[in-house]
Amino acid sequence: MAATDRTALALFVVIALLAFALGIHFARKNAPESSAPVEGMLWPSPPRLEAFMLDGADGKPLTEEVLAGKWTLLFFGFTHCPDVCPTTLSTLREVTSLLKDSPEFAKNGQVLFVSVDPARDAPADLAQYVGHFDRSFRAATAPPARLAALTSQLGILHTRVKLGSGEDYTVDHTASVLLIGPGLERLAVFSAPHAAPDLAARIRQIIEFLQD
Amino acid sequence: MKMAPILLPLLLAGSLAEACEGLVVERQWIREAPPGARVMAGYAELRNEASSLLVINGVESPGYFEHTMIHETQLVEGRARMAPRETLEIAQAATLSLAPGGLHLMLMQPVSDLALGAEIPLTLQCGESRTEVRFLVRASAP
Ligand SMILES: [Cu+2]
Repeated sequence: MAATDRTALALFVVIALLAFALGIHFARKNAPESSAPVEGMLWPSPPRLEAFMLDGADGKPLTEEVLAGKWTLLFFGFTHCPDVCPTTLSTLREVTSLLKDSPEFAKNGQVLFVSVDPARDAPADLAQYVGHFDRSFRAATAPPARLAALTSQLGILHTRVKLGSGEDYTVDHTASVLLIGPGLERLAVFSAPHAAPDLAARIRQIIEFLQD
Repeated sequence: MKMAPILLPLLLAGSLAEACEGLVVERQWIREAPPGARVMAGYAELRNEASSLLVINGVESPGYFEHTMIHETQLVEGRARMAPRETLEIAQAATLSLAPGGLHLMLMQPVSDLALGAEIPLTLQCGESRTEVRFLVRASAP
């Protein structure tokens, strides 16, 4: 390599690094700030949900298209989860009932439960599981790679942990409830623990804020 | 039976060990399992009316669940994790609450479907002593 080539390469590397650092700087500057009108809301620049494809409990593929035009409350869990998952799904049933007087949510609201334990939760079995809480609830799961296409973009973590000496395991998982807007905007992340009146109030505020 | 007759009503049929001293169990319930769920959770208020520390070191329900544990759900940075607990310690005159999102009895692999309204005997172990309590299967907390 000639000396001038090496200088050119070095210059290129320096410029690339500078551009990268500047990029980070501006990305940070434009990141959603604490100016969000509602706690948990990702505002003013909510990230957009990217394409994914899960296996719906109804036997059909469940893609981002199922969320388009809807206000979706999204929760991740698994059926061998006797405490947090049923508690949260019961809370979400209460939330949807509290939001019956929001014409927008009553018309276009939905709840989607995604199992992060596809090894034990077959899509078809999830229909009965969520139906136990509310017949309108949707559910889906997918083999690890397709599941990750959704969980990784949303920052949903899930890890298998052995229980006792047998084959049993549990899954540590992010217990947040996410609100996805009709334009597939990731509008909010509500952290656990969840209380129905508080969740309903915050969702109502976000819908009203966006519809003003 | 070496128990004094006055203690007999405190014991449930079939249990030969002494009851956990001072243990009073109230508002006990098991959350109804959605169809297909192979794991359930039991909740209760545990009060210690004895004049010393009460230590519960196990739970069992042979004939109803194949595997039972004491668990605690912990929320760490937004993540829920269920961690086994060796013991539950209840100070004199104190009440310990096993409630959704926290401490619970982890009831795995029910032998049969346990319907709403069923009463399930669970045995709490305190060293050599045992207290059997009937837990009601309910949709939500009493
Ligand atoms: Cu548990």
